[in-house]
Amino acid sequence: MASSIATRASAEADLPPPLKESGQREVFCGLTSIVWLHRRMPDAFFLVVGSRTCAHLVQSAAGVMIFAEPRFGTAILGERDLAGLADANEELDRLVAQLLERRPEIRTLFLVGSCPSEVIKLDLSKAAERLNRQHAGRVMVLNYSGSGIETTFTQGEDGALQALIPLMPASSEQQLLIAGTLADAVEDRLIGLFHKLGIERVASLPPRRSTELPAVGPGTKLLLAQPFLSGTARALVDRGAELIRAPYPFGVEGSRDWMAAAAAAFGIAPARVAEVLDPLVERGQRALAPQRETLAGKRLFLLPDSQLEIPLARFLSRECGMELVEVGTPYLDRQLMAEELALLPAGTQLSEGQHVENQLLRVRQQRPDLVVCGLGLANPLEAEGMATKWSIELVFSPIHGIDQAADLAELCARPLRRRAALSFA
Amino acid sequence: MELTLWTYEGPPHVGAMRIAASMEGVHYVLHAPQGDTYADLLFTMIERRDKRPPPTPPSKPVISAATRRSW
Repeated sequence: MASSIATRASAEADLPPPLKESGQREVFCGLTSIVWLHRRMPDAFFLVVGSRTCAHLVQSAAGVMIFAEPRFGTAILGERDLAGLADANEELDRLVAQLLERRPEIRTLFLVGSCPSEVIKLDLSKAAERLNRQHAGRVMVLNYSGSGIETTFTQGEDGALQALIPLMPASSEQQLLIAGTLADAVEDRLIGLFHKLGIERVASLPPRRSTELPAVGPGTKLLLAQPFLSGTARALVDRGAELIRAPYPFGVEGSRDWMAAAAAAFGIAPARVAEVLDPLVERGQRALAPQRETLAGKRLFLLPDSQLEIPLARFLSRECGMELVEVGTPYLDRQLMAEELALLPAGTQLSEGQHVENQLLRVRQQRPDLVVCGLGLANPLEAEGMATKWSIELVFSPIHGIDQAADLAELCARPLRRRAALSFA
Repeated sequence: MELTLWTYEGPPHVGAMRIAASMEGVHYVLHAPQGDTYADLLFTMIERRDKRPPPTPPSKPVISAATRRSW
């Protein structure tokens, strides 16, 4: 083990220093994470305290998913609130009472801060405290910021989970805690596998019901299912959890290493891990083979957007044979990315932050076969002749785990196949 | 403050952007927080245009200007 750590450490040294960029970014703000969080916890409601622009954004990001009664809404700050003529706190109390009367099924209410609520310094943590007193026993009111002033869109989930952590009961019982939203079916599958490996107690954050929060404490071993939970990981460690170091569960290799790291943390023999996972690995690799034929040798450019870029690049290069042109990431958390960075091919050029115009110039110079990017950039790049994959789609899709590796590769191969099918060359 | 669960009304700066995007040789500088770059997708994704629209938010969030903007 020690020798493999040494090899990995030296592998990271083979990466050139990341290109640090600062300029206009082309990313959604953290409010966008409401789109998947409200589906995960149907008894929660996300109330954005923001502008008409915020309401319009969440709606645009939610796209065609129109619900008769969506589990998110916006308390729109008007001129009177912004000018300080109205007491924004009183106004918010009034709207929350109105909302709770209309929607009695709400058990947890997230007040979600935005750029305008931060600009006018509306203290939503104080507001949450006050509303908790007013509606005690009826609903739990929490707050976090989804403001795009300094964050990228997946950091919204990091914020929402951090808001839940103080409410988690303390327990020193031995358990595995998986943090990060997973599709329900994928979660069931992974928990089933952990049970089979011999890990009895497995809990998830966020839970499916916002009121059924898992416990946390010194017996908790924390396994991150998503790479964008820096704040959540630190807050859980502060509550006594021990962070399991592993690559993220994307691809056959990453998912196997991820589960094997958890098994090792629980003292499960490698032979048992091999017995349970080897048949899955073999099946996963077989399913991956046809996708690899499409992807191998193709050049890949990842623009910084979802924070999934580094694990995705690792999977697409190591298991699908793609060549990495540039791997952009909104921010680089070296601690949480250490295992991933060690697995990247030597010489991989990372970039951190964004200057979208300069980055697009590099995309045009390099002419990659596939660009993973945000929604706003995809069609213009397609019009310039490059195939694209929307990074946000990968946050919504069930792509975690060995069984899902072929699906993840297929999602990336599809734009290349479509382009080939439309080509007359 | 008003509660909205669904809105069919975009903010006014998107309307102004639409006008800027309808003309050639016009660039529209939007003093806004970074998150407002989502406007790109209204044009490139929903209208399926082949070019990014002409607005550019400033390279750093301009909060003082943003507070003067009508939200």
